[in-house]
Amino acid sequence: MGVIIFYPIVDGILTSFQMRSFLQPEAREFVFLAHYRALIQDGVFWTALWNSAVLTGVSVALQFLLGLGLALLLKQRVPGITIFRSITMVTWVLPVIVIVIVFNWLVQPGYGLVNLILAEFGLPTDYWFSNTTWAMPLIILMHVWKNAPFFAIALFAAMQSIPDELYEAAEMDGASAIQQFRYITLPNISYVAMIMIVLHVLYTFNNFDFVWLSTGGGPLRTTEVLPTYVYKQAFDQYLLGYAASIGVVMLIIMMMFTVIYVKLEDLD
Amino acid sequence: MLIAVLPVATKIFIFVVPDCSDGPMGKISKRDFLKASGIAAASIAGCLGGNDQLTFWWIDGDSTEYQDLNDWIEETVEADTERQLEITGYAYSDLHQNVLTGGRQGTPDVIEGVIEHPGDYVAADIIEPLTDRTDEIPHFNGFLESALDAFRFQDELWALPYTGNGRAIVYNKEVLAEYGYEDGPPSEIDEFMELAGTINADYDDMNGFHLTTERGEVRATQEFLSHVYQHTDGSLYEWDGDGWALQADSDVFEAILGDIYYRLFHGDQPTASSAYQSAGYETNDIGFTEGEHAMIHCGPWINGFRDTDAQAEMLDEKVAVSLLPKHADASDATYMEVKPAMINTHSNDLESALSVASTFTSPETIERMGEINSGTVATPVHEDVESTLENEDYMAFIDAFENGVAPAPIAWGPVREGIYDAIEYVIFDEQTPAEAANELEQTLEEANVELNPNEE
Repeated sequence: MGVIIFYPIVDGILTSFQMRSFLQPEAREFVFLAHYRALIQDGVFWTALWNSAVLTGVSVALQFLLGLGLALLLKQRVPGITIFRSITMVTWVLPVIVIVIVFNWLVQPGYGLVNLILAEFGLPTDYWFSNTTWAMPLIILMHVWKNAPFFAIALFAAMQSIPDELYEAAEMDGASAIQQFRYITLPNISYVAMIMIVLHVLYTFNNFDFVWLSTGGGPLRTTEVLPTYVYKQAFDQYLLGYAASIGVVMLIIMMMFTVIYVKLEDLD
Repeated sequence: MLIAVLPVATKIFIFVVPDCSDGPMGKISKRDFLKASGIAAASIAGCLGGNDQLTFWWIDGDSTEYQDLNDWIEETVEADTERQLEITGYAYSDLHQNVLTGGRQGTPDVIEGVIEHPGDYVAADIIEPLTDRTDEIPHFNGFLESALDAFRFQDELWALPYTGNGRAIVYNKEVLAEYGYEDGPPSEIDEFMELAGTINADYDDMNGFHLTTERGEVRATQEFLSHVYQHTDGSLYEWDGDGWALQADSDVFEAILGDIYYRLFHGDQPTASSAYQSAGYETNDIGFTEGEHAMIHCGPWINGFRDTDAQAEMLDEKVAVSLLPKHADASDATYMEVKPAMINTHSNDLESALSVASTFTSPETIERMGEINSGTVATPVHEDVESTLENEDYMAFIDAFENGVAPAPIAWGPVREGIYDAIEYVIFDEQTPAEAANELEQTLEEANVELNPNEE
């Protein structure tokens, strides 16, 4: 346990106080808080932190709302719903690289489907991943497209565990569908929902591949997030110590969510 | 590896044991037991590092296109060294990273790369100097000095070249002829951009001139540097005895950012549609062969994009090459790309590793590469190899290679980031070329480009 978990973490934290190059990682020199002082003055770090917060906040909120809506749909007893439930999971099982390639193709100038449709209606076309306004929304869209179905399945499973008697009793008391949702469904799925939200906050905040593969952090750093910034510092600039200090900031932020997660699990 | 070999060893052991039990004594003989133990021990030793296989990582190590060539290299090396050779393919970013993280373990024995890699590997103490080993390379005297010079620093030769090129303008001669430029585009930048802007305005579905501008795209920095080298007549940084000194200033950067990058997408007559802002190399190269651009920055590999008949027709009949346009006070310099093969200094068999590098960079291998992709040998780095260029319209690539400037062996990370920022600020009109140029000069002056691990 110590070797597998604590040694890498402690070494990472120690590295954040050291001057250490990726080219010769065995050479270390203590610089104490120099990296953290540099972080405070590093505009790109603050941009990346803000972008990470926006990406995480917006995409997890949308994933939850869409997932909840989808779960309510899946709950309906209509013909063909079992097939629909299976299809729902397709985007979740798709590899990230495939999703990025698909979206990249869709928004290509000249032949991308999105641009062809826009051109058909006389609207402006663009390579949307290189658009400073639309690059981040597109990345959020990819996250939502991939993960909302998983939210839906998890919430749907939680809804399935609610006894039918509760709804029957509510109906006898004259509760409307909205009231049933508000006072029966929501309270009974809140635990699963919170766990899902916390887990996806952790996943999205740490997510590297969607951004790296689609925009590399551009254009104009509008999609630069902390994981891509750490990668660039460590493997492009060879500044392992500085990269580790950003990693420690990420660790602290993520620990807060982990504490929430653990508390939620204890609630049961 | 252990997982793969242990079952095999076990099977051999199981195979041997019953055979023994059927022997005259009805039990395992001492000799058979020793035989089985020996096989198992040898298998495990192989797993634990006693592996006799040589390893070579190069970008086309796994490509089906180069399969025959790789097989031939493996056979040649095996005949020469009596050791098996395993060739593995990686994308350059992964290859570079994996060598830096794991190269000290001795794998791979031989490393292929791009021109910016040897400096990093030298700083990381991963590659072996070849200065004293050149006599062991039969074809060494045939290498072009300019190609070898790209890998000479710290008084040592660190790599052997196998392919090279210089960047030039690839243009659609039919389109340019319409505008009276039958002999190629203008060599002066202002006139060049004017022509590109006119073509862009006249054609609904064709950019006049296009460059790669995507953040993170290596080509974007190489194309930018091509124009810088026209002003510096050497690399962006030169060693002045104490350290690396920046050779360009904000005036040079402003001229390039203003006259080329700003005018790509802005001004009275932009040369390309704004939909192409931040586009990568595929959009540039493949797009050109599909008729999306009248002129682009490119190298001889453009001749390899022949997936469709239309592309082949374009490359055979409509394309010509000229040197890059330049400012009046600048030279014909351009970015020179030379790709190297390097030897891992931690290899357990440097002699065999040298044999691999020697085989890989030999005239015969280079000629075989040229048969697979003619662009590789358009401007050969060895005098015993003939250029595959036959089309007269492509000959400017040879002049471009001769004018090429090899990048300095510095830490390119901070330089690239600065260049990406400057390009993006200008093409998105967030800063004027003058502002972006000043910021770029400051960034490059302050950047720590020394490949000294103790300097952070």
